[in-house]
Order: sequence, then structure tokens, then C-alpha cells
Amino acid sequence: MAIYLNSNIITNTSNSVQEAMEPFLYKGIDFNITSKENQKALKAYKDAIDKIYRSVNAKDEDTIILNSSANESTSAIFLSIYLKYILTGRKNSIIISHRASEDELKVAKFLESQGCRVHTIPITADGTIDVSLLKEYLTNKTALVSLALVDEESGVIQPIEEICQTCALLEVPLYINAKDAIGRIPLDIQRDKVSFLSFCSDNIEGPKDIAALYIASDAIEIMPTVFGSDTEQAGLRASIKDVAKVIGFGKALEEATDALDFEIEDIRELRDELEEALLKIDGSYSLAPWAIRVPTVSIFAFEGIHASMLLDKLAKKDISAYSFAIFNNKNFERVSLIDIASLDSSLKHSIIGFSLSINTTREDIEETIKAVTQAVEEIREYGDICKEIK
Amino acid sequence: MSKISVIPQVRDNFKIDSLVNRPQNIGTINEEEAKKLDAKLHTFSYGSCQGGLKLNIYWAVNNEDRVVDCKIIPYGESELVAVASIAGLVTKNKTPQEILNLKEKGIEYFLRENPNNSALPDSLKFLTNITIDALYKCANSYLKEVDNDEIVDISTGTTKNFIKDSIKRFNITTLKELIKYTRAGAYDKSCQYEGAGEKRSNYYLDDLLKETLNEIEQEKKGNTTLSDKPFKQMETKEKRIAIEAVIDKHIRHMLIMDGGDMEILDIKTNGENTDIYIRYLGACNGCASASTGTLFAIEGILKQKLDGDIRVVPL
Repeated sequence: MAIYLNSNIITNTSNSVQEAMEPFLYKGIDFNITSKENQKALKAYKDAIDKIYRSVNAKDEDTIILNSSANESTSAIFLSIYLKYILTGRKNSIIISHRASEDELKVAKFLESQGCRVHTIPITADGTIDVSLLKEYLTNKTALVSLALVDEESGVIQPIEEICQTCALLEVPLYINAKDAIGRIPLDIQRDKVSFLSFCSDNIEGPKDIAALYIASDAIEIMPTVFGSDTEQAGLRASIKDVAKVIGFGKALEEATDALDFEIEDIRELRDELEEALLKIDGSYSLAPWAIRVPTVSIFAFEGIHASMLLDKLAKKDISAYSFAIFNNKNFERVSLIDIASLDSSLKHSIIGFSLSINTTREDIEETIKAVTQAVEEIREYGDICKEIK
Repeated sequence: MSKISVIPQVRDNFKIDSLVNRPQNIGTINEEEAKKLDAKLHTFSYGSCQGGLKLNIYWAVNNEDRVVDCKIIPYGESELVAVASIAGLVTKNKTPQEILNLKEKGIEYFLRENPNNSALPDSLKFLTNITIDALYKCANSYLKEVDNDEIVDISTGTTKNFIKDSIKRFNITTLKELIKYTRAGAYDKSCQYEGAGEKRSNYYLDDLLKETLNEIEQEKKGNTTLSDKPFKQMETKEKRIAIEAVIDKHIRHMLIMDGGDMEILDIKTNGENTDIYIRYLGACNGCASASTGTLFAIEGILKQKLDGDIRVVPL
């Protein structure tokens, strides 16, 4: 059986979600035509939208539009902020963090080339942003603060309450990417008042290529990403959505938020077991503090082991892990976890992460521990790469 | 942008797969093992772990200056294990001078599953490129040649000559491509262009690229200009240009009028004589007068315009 420990990147669609989607798959559903089948679909669709609202505790006045990915939400927010506020001269800067993901960085770079000021907030030694510094960066000319609630690589949770309060002081819109937070930690939009929030279905065992963008009722106005009829998705992204996918997304969100009560503690236990075992390997480091990390993620660096080689060895045994440190991923612009933890920079390419999901079993973890220990030994058998020879 | 940019760039090659699983020539050689082979140990370290790619090379070299055994420890993308295996294979039983004549294509062809498709995806082509550079540097260090190469990117240890060679080898025209094929500037942006960051070396990639592209252009120009020397003192390259010029001006239009053409295959200097081997194309191929009248006409014109000792041989 294949073992999936890369739920940060992608997950399989779970069986219950597949069952919920089944009746509506491959159907051409037009809600304007009131056939029996379409009305059944409409009921399920409404139900799914309800679930999506409930998953983040959104109010009925708020808008949640569905798009294809969290990246799309990021681009949509950045570009509409630029077109509506920066180009017109009302605001002049945006704030991102030193650990911004590639999609955020790329669009921020583009805005910078168009004359917008882009400030990056430094990261403290535990991986969270420095909120006192955020206060200093904020002015009444700041158009947007954009942060990931949970770091996609290390799983470190940002102090959202403090950030929300800080931004509220100057009424600066706050965009939170909750891609890696949904289904890992409880989200409550009514408590933490953000303007925009995005999350997706890829890493909660839902269907792929569907995501949601939450827009608070009191948030500033944004531009449509796809122009079209006002009756579809509040006119912000007018395109036909696959009904089956929306229903699947709703089901996956429901399951993920339900699991937060109980199952997540089991996952945390398994994760800790994995972490304890892997830290026994010579020259292994854990890169993020336990207390402020989501319960699913465990991230390591192994001395003298290139992440790509280790991933390859694990893939041979049908185990999927993830690494952002290999050349193919090309995300070198942000600060490395090694630098944040102030370890030796020769570990920069040795970072490998494991992120568990609800379906991970104890056997999976035992097998993974065995496989990783063996793979590390195998690679170290090649010779001591760290030794400098003349 | 093209079809290649919409396909995921990952390994899809059986040969590399099997070499990654069962690597060869990977490991170390110690002094004792070298002694058993009646050879001396030579070691060399290329790249760095910080730069994401490192090769520790061990050679056992006998008294005839031949590398009898080669072992490499790779650190990098998993495909590097396969590349290093082949690198070890091709260096065996070669002298360091011969290794300096190896080409990047040599390793790459070895890894191909299908002769028409390149072995590695676009995003990993730098692996063979960097490995061959490591072999050159290792050979140079064995020959104790004064290395006047200068480091451009400190984080990856990429040198100036390597960057210039790569530009020529892969016909690189943009900075993005240069970073892809050499990895210089991938981690440390400061060496990409002036103003990208704190200055740490004497060169910027941007300047090097412009300089090399200029050099290539000038070389091309130099190749097509006629030499002023008398025909007999010319080098083969210059002779070819002179002959092509005469053919273009006086001969080719005659042949094309009859639906034919010709091409020069080779030029050889045989003592006093210069033999020009040609091939007829189109209607000339198989024509009865191709070996008589036409041939004499071509030879006559070349003799008259260039040198009396020219002979034309149709193949």
C-alpha cells in the first residue's frame, strides 16, 4: 500500500467525498431548468455552500467565491488592490513576509516593477513574523498585508489574533492564505477579523482544482477575475463550476473540520512518534518548534543527504514525502528554514518534510521510520560527502 | 514557450532509473586500495553542499598516467547518481589529457534511452554539464596546471571559464537559461547583474553573457571574411572560405540553371596539390558530363581564380 505523507502538497480524494460526488459526476446540470434531477442537484449544491461557509464560521453577509486554487485567489487580490488603490494613488505599499510563497512573491515582484512599494517583514527565530515590526511598517498608505496563516513548508502557525488587531488599528486590509491551516487548526473568521481568506480543496482529501476565496462584508471592493454575469459568483468570477466538485469540496471541508475535535489528536500522536524516531538518526535536526506547529507536519534536515536523493529512495518504497529545497521547485527567494533556525548552511538542500493526514495509520508510520532510516544509511554508504578533500 | 513548457519536467528514463537504483563507480578509494592496483591516489572536491551540488572524486592513477579506477561520491539531485556512475565509467583507462578532451555530450548520450530524445529533462540538463566541468577541474588539478579560472558565484563555486563554455555549448542567449544550465546565481542573486546585491566577485553573469555573445558573433564574422594571404599559405579553414566564394560567384549559377548543385565535402593538402572533394546534387548527380565537361569547367575556373595546383575529385 502506498503511503502518503505529503498532504501539504496534495492528497487523494477520500472515499466518502467520492461517494458524495458520485450522483452528480459527468452530468450537465443547468439550474435554470427545473427538472427533478437538477433540483436535487441544487439542493446538494446549496448544502455544500452552507458547509463551506460553516467551515470558517463565515456570516451570511460575507461572500465566498469559488475558484480553481489558492494561487488564483492571491493573484486576484493583489492585482485588484493594485488596480483599484495603488494605480489611482490612494495607497502606495503592500506588506508580505520573508517566508512568502512563490505565487505571492511573483505577483509582489510584478507590483514592485509597476512602482508599488513592497515591504517584507522579517521572521523571528521560531518562524513566526515579528508583530512589533509589523506595527512599524504599517502606515495609513498601506494597501494590503498578505500572510500565510500556516507556513507551507514548516507548518508554523502565525499569531493571527495579534496580526488582526494590529491591522485593525489602521484599518489595513488583511489577506490570509489559509491553504495549509484548514483542517489542521480551527478557523473562526468572526473572532479573527480578516478581509480576505483563501483555502483550497487539494490538501483536505477533496477534489482537485477547486478553492474558495472569502471576502468579508466590510472589506474593500475588489475587481472580478473573470468578467461576466452578476448572477454567478457575485459577478467576481463568472464561470461555470463543476457541481460535483463543489459538492465534494463541501463534504471534504465538513469532514476536515469535524476531525479537528478528535482525530487530529491521534494524528499529533503519530506525528510525534515519527519525529522522535527520526531524530534518533545521526545528524538529524527538527527545523520548527513543536509548540507552534500544526499537528500534521514534521520537518527535518539530515546531514549530508540531499533531499532529492532521499525522496527518490522513499518513492521506490511507495512513500511520498515533500521537499521545497530541490532545484525543480525553484523557490530560493524566501529565507531558508536553515537560516531561521541558524544551523549550518550546508544543510540547506537537505530539508525534507512529512505531513500526515486523517488516513495515516500507525503501520504507515512504522514503515516510514524503517524506510527513512534505511535510506539515510544507504546514501551515507556512498561516502562522507561533507569531508573536504584536496 | 512551447509544448515543452506545459509538460511536467521530471525524469522519465529507464536507464537513469536503473542506475539510480544500482549505482556504479560510487564510493571512495583509500590509499591501500590504490596501492593494490599499483597506483597513486588522487582526490578532488568539486562544488559545495551549500550550493546544492557536490562531487568528491577519487582517482587511482598508475605510473603510465592512466586512471585505473575512479569512484565518485555525489551530493545533489538523485539523477546525479546516474550521471556520476557514467562519469566514472568514461574516465576509466584514460589519461588526464584524454579526459580534458571529453565532451558533455559523451556522458549525455550514454544515458539516453532513445537516441533521438535527450536523457534528462530540461530542468536537469545542468547535471551533465557540471559533472564534465568537475572532471576537467580534477584532471587539471592532477596535471598541476595553474588554474587561472576565477570564481563568479561563491555559493555554488561556478567559475568564469565554465560559464563561458556553457554559453557556447548550449547556445545560451538569456540570463534565465544561463542560470538553468549552470546554476550560477540560482541561490545567490548578487552575482546576476550589477545592483542585485552585495558585490562578492569581480564578474557579473549579465556582463559575462554579453561578452561571450559578442565573442561568438565576432568569431562568426571572422569566419566568413576572405583572407588576404596567397592561396598556398592559407589554412584549410581559410581555403574553404576562398573556394566557396569562387564557387558562389562563378560556378553555382551555371549548375543551378540545369537543375543541379554541388557541395564541398573535404579539402586536403597533398604536398604541392590541394585536393577538393565534392559531391554533385540534384540533376548533376548521375549526369554524363558531370565527370567530364562540367568537372573540367569547375576545375578550370578554380585553377584560374585561385591556384594552378588545385585538383577536384567528385565522389
